[in-house]
Amino acid sequence: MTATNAPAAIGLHGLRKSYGATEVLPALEAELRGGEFTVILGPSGCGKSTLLNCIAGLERLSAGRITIAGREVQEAEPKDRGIAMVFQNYALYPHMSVAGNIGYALKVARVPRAEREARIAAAARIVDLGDYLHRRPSELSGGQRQRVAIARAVVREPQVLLYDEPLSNLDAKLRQDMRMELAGLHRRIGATSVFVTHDQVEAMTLADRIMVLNRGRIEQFATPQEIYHAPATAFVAGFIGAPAMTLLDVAGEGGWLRLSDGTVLARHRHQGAALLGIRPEQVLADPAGVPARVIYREDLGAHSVLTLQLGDGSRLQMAAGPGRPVAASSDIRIALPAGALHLFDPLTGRAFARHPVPSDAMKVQDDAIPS
Amino acid sequence: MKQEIFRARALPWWLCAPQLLVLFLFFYLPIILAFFWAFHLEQPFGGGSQFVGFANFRRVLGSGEFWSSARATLAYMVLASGSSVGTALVLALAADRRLRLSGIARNIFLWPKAVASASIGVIFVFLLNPYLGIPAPLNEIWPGLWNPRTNPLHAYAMLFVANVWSAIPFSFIILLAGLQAIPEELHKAGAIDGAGPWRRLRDIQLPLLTPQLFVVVVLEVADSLSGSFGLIDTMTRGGPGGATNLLVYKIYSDGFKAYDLSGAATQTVILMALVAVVTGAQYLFLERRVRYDR
Amino acid sequence: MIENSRSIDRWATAILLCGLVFVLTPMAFVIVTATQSYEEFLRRNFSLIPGGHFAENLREVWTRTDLPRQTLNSIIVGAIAATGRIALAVTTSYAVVFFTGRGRGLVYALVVASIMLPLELMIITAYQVTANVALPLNALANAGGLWSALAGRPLDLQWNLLDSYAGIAIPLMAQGSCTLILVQFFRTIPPQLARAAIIDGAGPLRFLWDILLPLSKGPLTALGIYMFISAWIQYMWPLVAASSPARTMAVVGLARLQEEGERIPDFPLQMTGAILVTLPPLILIAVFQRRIVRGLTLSEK
Ligand SMILES: Nc1ncnc2c1ncn2[C@@H]1O[C@H](COP(=O)(O)OP(=O)(O)OP(=O)(O)O)[C@@H](O)[C@H]1O
Ligand SMILES: [Mg+2]
Repeated sequence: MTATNAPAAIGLHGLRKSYGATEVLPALEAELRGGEFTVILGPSGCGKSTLLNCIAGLERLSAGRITIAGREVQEAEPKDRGIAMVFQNYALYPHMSVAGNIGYALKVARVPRAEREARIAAAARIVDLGDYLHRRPSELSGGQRQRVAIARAVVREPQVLLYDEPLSNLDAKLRQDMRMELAGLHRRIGATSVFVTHDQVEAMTLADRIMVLNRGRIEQFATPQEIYHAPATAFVAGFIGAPAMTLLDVAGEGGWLRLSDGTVLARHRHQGAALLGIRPEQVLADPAGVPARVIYREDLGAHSVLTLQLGDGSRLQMAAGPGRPVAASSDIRIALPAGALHLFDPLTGRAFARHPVPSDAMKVQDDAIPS
Repeated sequence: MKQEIFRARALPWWLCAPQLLVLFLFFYLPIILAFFWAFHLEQPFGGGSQFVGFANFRRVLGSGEFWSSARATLAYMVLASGSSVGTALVLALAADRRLRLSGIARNIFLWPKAVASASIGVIFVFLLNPYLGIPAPLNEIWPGLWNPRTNPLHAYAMLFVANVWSAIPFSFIILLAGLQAIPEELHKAGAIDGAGPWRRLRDIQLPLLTPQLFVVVVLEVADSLSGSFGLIDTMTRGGPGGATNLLVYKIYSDGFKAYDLSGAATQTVILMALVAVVTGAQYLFLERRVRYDR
Repeated sequence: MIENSRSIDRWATAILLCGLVFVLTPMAFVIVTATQSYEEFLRRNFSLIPGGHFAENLREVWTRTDLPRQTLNSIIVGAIAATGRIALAVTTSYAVVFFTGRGRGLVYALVVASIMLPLELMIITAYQVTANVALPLNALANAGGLWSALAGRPLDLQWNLLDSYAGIAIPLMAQGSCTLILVQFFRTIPPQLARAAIIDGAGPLRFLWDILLPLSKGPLTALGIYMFISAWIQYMWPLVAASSPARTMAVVGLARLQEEGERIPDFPLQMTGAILVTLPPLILIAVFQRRIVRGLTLSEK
């Protein structure tokens, strides 16, 4: 089955939502492109579900407009928005069979029986559930239930598919399988998809573009590559990546970045206070570099993650290759390559524009000197 | 469901014994005795009993008074439980929405539980008194508009209102709990599937509420009967003209006032059978819809 | 909630308001009437204007009627019945849920069946049993003339419980709803808890006393309060089981105020009595509403 409708873009214009005095979403602006797979990513309680419910029409906006395929829908009923939704805990009707669940929307819409059955069968085939049509939800496994929920959404041939953490009730293995299936499904039916999660692996693997939400505000809305390599804010930098980017308070003066105790960290033209971000895998060992003490080591097999303490007491994470074991409480020296540095405004958290890298900062030694 | 932790043999029986003893003495033995007396006649002076076969039943079933009482009882059981469960259901559906009023309502709707059926009777007899109560001004304009002392229909209306009033709390608690156990997501899924509020009520809420509805209806049938005595004894005393002489009240008068033990016991047996049949019918009616797991 | 919820919410609010009016109106009239003197009441007929005679009416109820004494009786019977029902229900549910062995299902069914037929239906024979609790013993001993053959005459033990607190309260315990609720509550308790107790060396009774009961404190108090109220509002059984004024319960006493034989009944006095009889359980309900609901429905909301 393919969506009969052209992929629909979703526009959020000055969208606000508050519950009484608590403002959950303050004036959101965004354009979700038609046919794209958008992932809304953010910590728990940041307003992801609220945003999704607003798009679905399950919550009334406090202000602002929502357009789907160019049409203003903020006053429309959920059923008139051309959307379908998959919920975290499946939300299957326990008293209806699988077929009844999938076909309920069609029944409400008075689709004739024969057509209804054909579409139910087709939707069930998409998610591989053909043999289970007569079972009750209670007789299915978690993965199968979520498939039913997906079939129930797909059967209506929606322009927009909304997912609210659909995989978080599944175990790790099943989650990975379902991720692949969802990606495949998206390719096949081509509906605009909006997928809410707080799991960055899901976000990175599924998304065409990721919208990172923090306290109801969009921190960054970009492709996974951009989000990873050029985080727009310190929040995004600290949220994405496992382990996440380290953030250090530094001051730039005379071409050098220093810690508060004066230790020189790296070359950089930035002047004044800044938050310095660096990914653990980009920290290098360098016998001529900055002294640091290994205070903790996590061995993950393929590589290990070292937690280092710097001169002023601040901590830094470093991913080390499998080859050279470094004992905890040993002293090492490290270098922070200028190309890997991200600088953020300590007040607003926004990234400073990147400065051209001074040439001698590229001088990097590869040999680590574990002591 | 099975936990079965301890394996002691005698102990569980000792633990059940007190409850079983009390139940035997004051529940099962009275039932057995009712059957016994339904087939026996008490000897005048000096106790003893004589087996008389179905003579008691013939006598009871041959009396027109019994039949009108039995018909009234059956109708009362069905209508009283139906009206009170219906009222409680509507209130529970309203209170299930998160409104400012629902908090207080959830408390106040339980208050009638504190009022005994006989107290309700005393109060409603006064409130609905044709000359002194709420209808008094209307009765002055249209004399005879309302008089439960002479009009059987009015007498029943009075009983029903009092019964609904007193039956709200229990049904309300159970039904509201059932409604609140329905996950919010199901409402959302229903809305997205295009079902409006009425459609969701019919297709989602009511089907998922059947277990609670079943419990409430069964208990309300029993309660409407047991409560009917207090109401009748204080409001109508079976009148006017025996119109509200339901079996519960008739058995009491026959047994305790007319000392007709066998007749009262026979009617007790019939009444219990009636309740069993009504409960069984409800079970059959609702049972098909109850089979699902959350 | 969802979609055009405003208009639905308006409907729901209206329904709730109607319900509140329906529940509260009788109570309001009772209170107003209780503040009027008999003369005032006769003069004004039915009116919503409160008088200033509540204290007077109360004094009259207190001195001229038996209600104070009967209220005490209600408290005693209510306490006995509630404690008894809880105790019986705890032991039975414990046996049904936590023990292996045959007969559990049967016991449970026997107990639950008692919910469907209230005491009021079998009042005549329940009265007979209470008038002589030894009845089954006599019947058993005299079956087939056994006892006469041994002792020369039929066994005729008499143990009359009528007109005693026990005789009023114990038959009220012969109803299984309390057990039904507790069984369901016990089933939600993880079996690992009992296994842990066994490993710690606790026997079944110790587990019941040290772990299960403390764990069930919430539901048990809620049930206890509810059962106390249920006993308090009984009418038919106390009416037939207590014949002397010394054992009459308050609700029965209130109904008897109706029988004073005046041409126009002293409704202000009756309503004052109704307040007195209703207030204790009403306060319990209003104060413990959440607990009671949670206890009855085992929900955490
Ligand atoms: N009905 C409500 N009334 C008041 N506050 C609410 C309501 N619903 C949500 N909130 C608040 O809005 C904020 C966002 O909630 P939301 O459910 O959108 O978070 P979320 O990002 O989906 O979190 P999670 O990942 O845990 O699902 C939370 O702080 C929550 O407390
Ligand atoms: Mg959420």
